[in-house]
Amino acid sequence: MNCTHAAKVLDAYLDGELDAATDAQLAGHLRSCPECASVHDAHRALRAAFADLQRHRASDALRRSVTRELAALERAALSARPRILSWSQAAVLAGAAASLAFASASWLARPQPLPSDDRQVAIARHVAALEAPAEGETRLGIASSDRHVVKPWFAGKIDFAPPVRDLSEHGYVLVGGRTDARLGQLGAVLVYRIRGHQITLSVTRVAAAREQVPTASTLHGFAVVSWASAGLGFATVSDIEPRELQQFAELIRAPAR
Amino acid sequence: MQNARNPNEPNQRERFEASVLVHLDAAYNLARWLLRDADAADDVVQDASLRAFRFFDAMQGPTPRAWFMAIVRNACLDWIGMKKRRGVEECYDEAVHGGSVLDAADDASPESIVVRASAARELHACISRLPREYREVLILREMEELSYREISAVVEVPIGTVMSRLSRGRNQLARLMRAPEQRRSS
Repeated sequence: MNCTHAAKVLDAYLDGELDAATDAQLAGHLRSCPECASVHDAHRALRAAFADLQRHRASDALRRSVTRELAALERAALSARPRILSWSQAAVLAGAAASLAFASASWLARPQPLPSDDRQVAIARHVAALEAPAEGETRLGIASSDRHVVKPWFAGKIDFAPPVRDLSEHGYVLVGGRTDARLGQLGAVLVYRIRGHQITLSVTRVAAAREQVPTASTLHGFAVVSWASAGLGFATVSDIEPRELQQFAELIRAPAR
Repeated sequence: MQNARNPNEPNQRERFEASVLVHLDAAYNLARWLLRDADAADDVVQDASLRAFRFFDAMQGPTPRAWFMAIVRNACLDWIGMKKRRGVEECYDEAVHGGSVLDAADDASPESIVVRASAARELHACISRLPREYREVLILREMEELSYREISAVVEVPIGTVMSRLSRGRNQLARLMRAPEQRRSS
């Protein structure tokens, strides 16, 4: 074995990943070549040094949080099952066994509150919608500034009607919408734009009892305003000023004229 | 994007916890070394864990650990990409991100603990300065003890590339460890 070959397989040798034949050849080379042997020793010393490096461990809080969210996801998946039915199937079900469907829905389809990281989900959706490759070529399911085009597009894709408002007189231009099933939560995502800044509005079903006034916060550098009303949870995300985003939220909340 | 199979068979979650979630520490350690940010690591690992659960039925790769760590790694790269797009430079602040380097429960003499702690701190700083491609394979190999086959699955490169990255990474790390003054002035 020459030094070039030895250098290539030296680390695999240290890591015990070589086949027996090559392993023996390299061991022989190291006995006869002081240069390769010194590289070997240096790398072996590094390996030893790593043993003193303490591993970062997941905190108990993270562990608990993951376990809790998994349980919530499990329940949400249970309750989401009837909603995966196609619209026609759902209609048949509702017509044929309305009372039964209602009875089961009362315990099965109880909407879950947004998980504690609903803002994370909203931000992830915001970023996903940002990744548009070029103008006019977006990752949106429907690209239109016409609310009468965008709103009906959601019918049959999700089981609720997200409010789609024309806010162009306020400077917010509707860009389009998409659905997103991040973290098991099927949601509607509406994309607006103002002065070159994107604003996304995520709408997800939540427990009907959960009413929440708009709350502004910043998370990972994004402004987030979230609220809940009438069984829907809203989270709007942007890189504009939180105060301005709050105004946007108020416009969305204002009853349609 | 719903799972084709019913994800709610009894024990689905228990099976997930037993085969995948047991590697939460490994996932978290990788995330910390990739992101260099404890809060971001919490968020990303939690998100990735839930994502893994959703796609548990579609699990593939050499081992559940490698599959899970690939998901975590991708989530980390998404996060880094998002930060870059937002114009936040990836910078390393040792004072903030330095972290602990030695097990307190070590039963060596105080003197040798000091020596070893400072050596570990040096190593920590040097690893942090490695390019991400080298840093991640070294963490996966040295700290998590993944096989080459697993690393290949996590990093999504051929085993030959894993080998050469480990080799180059160790060469570079050895150089950094030998030249502390050069490192500080850079």
